[in-house]
Amino acid sequence: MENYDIGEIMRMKRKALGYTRAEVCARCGGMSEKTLSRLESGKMKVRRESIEELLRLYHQSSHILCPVLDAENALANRLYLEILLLLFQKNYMEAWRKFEILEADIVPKSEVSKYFMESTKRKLMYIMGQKELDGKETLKFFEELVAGMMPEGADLANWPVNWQEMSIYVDFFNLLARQGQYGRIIPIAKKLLLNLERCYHNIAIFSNFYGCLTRRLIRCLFEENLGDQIVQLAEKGLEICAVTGDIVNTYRIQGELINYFWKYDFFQNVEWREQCFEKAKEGYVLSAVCEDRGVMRYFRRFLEDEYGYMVDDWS
Amino acid sequence: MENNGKYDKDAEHNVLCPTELEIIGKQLQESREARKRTREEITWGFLEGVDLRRIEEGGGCDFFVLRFLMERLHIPLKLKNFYLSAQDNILVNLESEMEYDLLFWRYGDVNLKLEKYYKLCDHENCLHMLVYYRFYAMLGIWRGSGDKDETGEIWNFIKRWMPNFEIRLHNREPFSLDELALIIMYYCLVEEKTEIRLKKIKEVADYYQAEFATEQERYQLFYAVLMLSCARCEYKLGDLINCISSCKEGIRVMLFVHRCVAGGELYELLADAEGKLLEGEIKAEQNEEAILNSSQGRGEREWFKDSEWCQRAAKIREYYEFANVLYKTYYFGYREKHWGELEEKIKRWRITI
Repeated sequence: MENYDIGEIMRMKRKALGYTRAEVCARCGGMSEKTLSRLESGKMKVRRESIEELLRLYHQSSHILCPVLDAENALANRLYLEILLLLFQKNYMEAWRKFEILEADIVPKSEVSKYFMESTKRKLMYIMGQKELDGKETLKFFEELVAGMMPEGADLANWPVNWQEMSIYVDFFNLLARQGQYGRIIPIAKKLLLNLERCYHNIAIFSNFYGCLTRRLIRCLFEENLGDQIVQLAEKGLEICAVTGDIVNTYRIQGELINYFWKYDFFQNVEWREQCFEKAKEGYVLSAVCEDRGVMRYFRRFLEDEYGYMVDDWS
Repeated sequence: MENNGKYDKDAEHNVLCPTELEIIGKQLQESREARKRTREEITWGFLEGVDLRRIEEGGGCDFFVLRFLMERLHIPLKLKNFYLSAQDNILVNLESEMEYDLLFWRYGDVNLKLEKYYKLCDHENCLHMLVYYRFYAMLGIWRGSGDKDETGEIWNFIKRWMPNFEIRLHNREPFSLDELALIIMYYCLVEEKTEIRLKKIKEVADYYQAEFATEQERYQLFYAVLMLSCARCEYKLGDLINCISSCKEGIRVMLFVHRCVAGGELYELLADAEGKLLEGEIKAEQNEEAILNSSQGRGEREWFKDSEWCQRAAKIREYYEFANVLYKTYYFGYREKHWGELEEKIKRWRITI
């Protein structure tokens, strides 16, 4: 569940656009500064009809004002959760089958939901070999999608982004990474990390995206030879994952960190070498808890090759 | 946005317009009818059937009522966006934080946050107080405390708002997860006899497994804690087979939520139970061989048994190692409080076979 303070969202969006209340009211004819102030502080009832223009200015779908069920119905939500889990388990055939049911049965109402369905479909189609994810057409689709998620001139670091939009950014980064466009990812990812720290209050969602963005950013910095920021970034990401027990992002960040140390030949440093040994063992265990066999193989091979250590021998 | 004042009942906590109210109402009605439930069956205890009728017809409700109804109707809350008033948002965020603080032994933080929750919530709102008492009870459990005054307060709340809950569990009437959690915690606090405690927890577990039948519904945070509660009782009673089964079921939650949910405790208890089982078999085998005193057949059986035992001992060490890593990575104060004990267990199994 993801919960937001609606008044605070409105206020953050105004500030991210760099507007004063007077400027917003000038753009939204008929709204007084007093009304806007009361709206932002949660002191008045919000009726969609009275704030249509404000919603358009803030790119906020009116459907999103519904305090529940931004996604369309219970079946859609259940199916989507099942698809996410199947993707993690690499059961792509079943994920695609469920997506086809979702697409046939559900008509997304909000713009964000429509785009979210479309980006998920493209991701699945690529995985199923039906479409090139790194094709020009797909890149253009994501670029337009991302550009449309906030108004021109808004500061991404301060613009409150919801989980669907955050997921779209992650998919966009995957696409850019496939094309080796790491330099494009770095500034956006950094702003999104700041965004999470400033705008997100739901602890579980915050931790999940923070971890996810951190490991992608580490990879990009590594590829662009900007390694001096990696260690600090990883340590912060791991601290945040520790708060909510986020296992997947913990071992993936550890994996990225080890990869960085290994490639930069830090193994001349005894202390780093020892630390990597411990982190790799922990990473193996955590990936085994989640039955992530690909990552388990990575850590096992690393421990055997680098240290001659066999992970199945717990003595 | 901070609010240090009391919960303002008269403030506007809804952000709704007529169209959205109708959408909510319709979806609640569709879910209820799909489950073939009357309004009274869904609302028993905390609300009236007529309240739900009004909501289904587009009358609207506050977030806590909505969440309560969605839980009783098994509508998943995951991946949904809820836009709340500032006060509701603070309360809901406090809940999330307390969940994780409890899982990872940050009891001091839970205590402070629970005090804050009590200050901010509406004490006459039974759904606010349901959340409060759930954490009140959980804090008592995790700390291993629970005096008569505390448990009396919890019981009074349960008696008032969840009347005849034992019969309703048996009859498979709808319960929200908060209610089930409160019932479990109450049993853990008051039932001194492990057999009775296990019997009662099992009733909730049976209910949960029957009513939350799909994997998506079942494997969530609450289920891991429920299975841990079962497993602890089973271990104490020496029912090692069921203890192992409960631990494995609880561990499975982590595959679905990708978070450590009582993972350290579950893996450690699993290792303890497997270890005790193996020790028992080894002792029994040694006694049997001493009595039989056979020759060739004994050699073959011994080789097989030793090999099987070695594999099982290795598995036990692996479980302890998994517990160690989970504790070390996520749990507050593990090194100071618990590492020594676990290290002894790991050492023991290194030299056993």
